[in-house]
Amino acid sequence: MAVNLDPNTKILVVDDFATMRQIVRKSLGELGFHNVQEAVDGVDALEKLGKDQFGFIISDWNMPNMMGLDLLKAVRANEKFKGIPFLMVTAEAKRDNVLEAAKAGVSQYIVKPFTVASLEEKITAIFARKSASA
Amino acid sequence: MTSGSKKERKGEDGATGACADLRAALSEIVSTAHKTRFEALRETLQHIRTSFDPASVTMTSTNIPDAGSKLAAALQESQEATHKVFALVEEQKSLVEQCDAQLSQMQHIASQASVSQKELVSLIEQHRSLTKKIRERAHDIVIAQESQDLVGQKIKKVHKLVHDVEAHLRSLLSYFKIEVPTEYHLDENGTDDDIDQDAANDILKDFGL
Repeated sequence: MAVNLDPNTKILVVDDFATMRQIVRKSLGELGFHNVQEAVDGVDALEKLGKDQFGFIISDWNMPNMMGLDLLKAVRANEKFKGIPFLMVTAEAKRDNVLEAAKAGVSQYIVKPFTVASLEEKITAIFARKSASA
Repeated sequence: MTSGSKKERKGEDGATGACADLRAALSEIVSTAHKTRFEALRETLQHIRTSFDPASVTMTSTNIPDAGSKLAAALQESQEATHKVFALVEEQKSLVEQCDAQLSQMQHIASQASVSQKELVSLIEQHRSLTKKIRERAHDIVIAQESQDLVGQKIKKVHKLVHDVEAHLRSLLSYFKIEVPTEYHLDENGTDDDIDQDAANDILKDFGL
């Protein structure tokens, strides 16, 4: 179980591919996180973020209407949810993409295919760092 | 006056004749020029037509739309197979939980002073039945992966088609002496330069992540 993350934390999973959203949801379930909501793209995600309190965002990179990077930038630019940890989980594993995401304020980046173990490692790293800087 | 008019008329006739000749000559020149250019254009178009593999007509009218629907079908099949696997895994998890519960029960009974052999044998049989179901579900999960082969075949065909279309486009552009940026060339394997998780982690470390 990831440290420093309340198992009741509401997590937003953003991916245009339904199967991928299920995989992330089930992986989070294996780690004890069951309070998960889904969004189909960046636009849908921003709408849901505006309506509810989320403690963590997990997003894909390549999506229609609004890419993951644009969602990240929009989240970081919004006073209400700019502090929400943001994990990019994506097959877009180009060096430039990772750099852009890091510059835009991503909390961590996972290259697909991932395992539950690597997801746990990244979540632990994110929230350990968040606690340390609090 | 009359003689003057006659002279003028003669002059006019001469001028008209020369003009007509000039006009005819010019007409012929223009007509020849048009014909030459038209012939040249016709030859160029003919060359373009013959330089293409006739199969590219079939490619455009049939194969490309077919490729699109193949991809859509492959995506659908892949999703259905995945959902099937998820359902089988959930069933598997439930069977394993039942197994665990039975083992706990068996352990409890075995620890009791008076344990009926009949009860124990019955529990063991139930347990065996559960493990048999677990084995069968595991096999079903493996079988559900066969769609990956079908999806892979469809994607291979589409990939080859894309490669062929690219080659034809390049030859067309090359014919018109239009430069093509080489960095976007799709190679035979369709590979590009993705990095792995370790490389991504190294980049993130530079940002304190």
